[in-house]
Amino acid sequence: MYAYARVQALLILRSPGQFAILTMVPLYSSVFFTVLIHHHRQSAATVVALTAFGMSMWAHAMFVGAEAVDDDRRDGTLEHGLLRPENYLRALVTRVSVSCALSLPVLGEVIVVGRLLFGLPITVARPAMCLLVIGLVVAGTVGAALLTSALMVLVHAARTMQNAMTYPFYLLGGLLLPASTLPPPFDWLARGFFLAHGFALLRELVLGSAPHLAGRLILLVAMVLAQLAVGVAALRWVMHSSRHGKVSLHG
Amino acid sequence: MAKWVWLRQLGYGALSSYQDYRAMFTWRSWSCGWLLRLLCQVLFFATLGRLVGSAGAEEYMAVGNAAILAPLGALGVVSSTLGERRSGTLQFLLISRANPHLVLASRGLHWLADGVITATIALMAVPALVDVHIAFGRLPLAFLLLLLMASSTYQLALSLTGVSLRWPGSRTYLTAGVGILLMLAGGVNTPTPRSGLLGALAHLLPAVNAIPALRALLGGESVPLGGIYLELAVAVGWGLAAHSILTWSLRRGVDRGTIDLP
Repeated sequence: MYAYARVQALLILRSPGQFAILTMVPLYSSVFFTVLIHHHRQSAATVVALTAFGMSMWAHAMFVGAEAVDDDRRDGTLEHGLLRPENYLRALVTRVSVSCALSLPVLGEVIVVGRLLFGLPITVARPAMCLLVIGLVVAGTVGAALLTSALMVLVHAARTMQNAMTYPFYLLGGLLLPASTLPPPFDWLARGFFLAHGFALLRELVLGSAPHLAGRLILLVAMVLAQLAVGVAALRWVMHSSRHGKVSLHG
Repeated sequence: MAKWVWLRQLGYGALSSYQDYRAMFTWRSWSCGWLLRLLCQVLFFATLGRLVGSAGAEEYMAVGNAAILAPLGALGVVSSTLGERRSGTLQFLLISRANPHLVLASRGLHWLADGVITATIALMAVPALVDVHIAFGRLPLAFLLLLLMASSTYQLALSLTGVSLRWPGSRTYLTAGVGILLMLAGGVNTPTPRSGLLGALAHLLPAVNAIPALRALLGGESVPLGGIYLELAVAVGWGLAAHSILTWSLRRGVDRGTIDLP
């Protein structure tokens, strides 16, 4: 596991594009902050900071999940990975997790930009609990990224798919407004989505009031575990199918 | 006859560009994947307008974010041209006797077309997404304005391509940076700043001068022609910049033998 994590850390360090998330997020968040200041809605700054973080985290995870497989396919290492599918699976899970963890400091970055550059009143009421929920949400996002990796083995269109899997999920995940405001049947769909549940909880926690916290936390943990299990299972199934010639690796 | 050769070269470039696009999308992946994603993007920013709660904010952001899809789409040429270098086809394109600017511009025309078409569809869909009135009878003129906005951004994108071919690691930062600048100062979510560095810089950006004209056109008001002339000037300026930067970058790559390095 350590070796896989080290490989991914080296890959990240050697490709500056991988750092785009950390450098671009402050600029993306400034689009939102500018809107708030223009409309004198500084009171929504904390929620909007969470939105900017959520978008970065999700987009980065989709990028990592798609690119990891696409790079391996292009470099010809995907076939080698299929010789030992369980090892490749472990390697991919570790690599995707390490890269997704990069999005964790982004929230701090967004808060610093909002407070120092825009003078916005961004405050986090229950920081420890918020960190716990953020950790869970990032873990669930790793599961979603693994699902993307599995789809990538099947459909070979990294850029197209990675791009298509951003904004629809920002809406479904309730990153800006609670998913409960979505029209039916999307509000129903969102109820089973860990991101919508995690962000609803996070939004309430940063503002200070989160009723039925224990029960909601347990539900979030269950949803995140289910997402991770679905991601790993899908990847395992796809690799098993590829190994037996049921899925073409090169179109 | 010879003076029209460039037109034929442009035609062949456009044809291969169309084939690239067909390889990238099927009708299903385009409509259920790409187009859906772009419509969700417009809806997402319109939701930001609803969150701030000011009168007209949701409509303003919905129209702005639908229109900006045309310029943002045109930026895709940076990535595809860099892909030519990675796949080793860039050097073959440069064998052409035509100017590299013309060759690379024609090879990525599908990005420009995609941006204009998706922005037009998004503008048509906006009234269904949020409560906003659009003068549908003026959509053909809006299409032409979107084409102008996308074309001037396309020239900026080709300038960025020149830089990215020299420093491939800069691609993500350059395209994302321009995209963010357009969203920040382009009159998309908030009016273009009138003062300061950002205000001065904004009017050199493509699309920025045409967006107010587009809003007026779709709102059924009289169109400020000054903005359209400025947009044309910006397009020509970025065209000249693209020509110089691409020529410099590719000549340097050929001289140093680095043109096909991944």
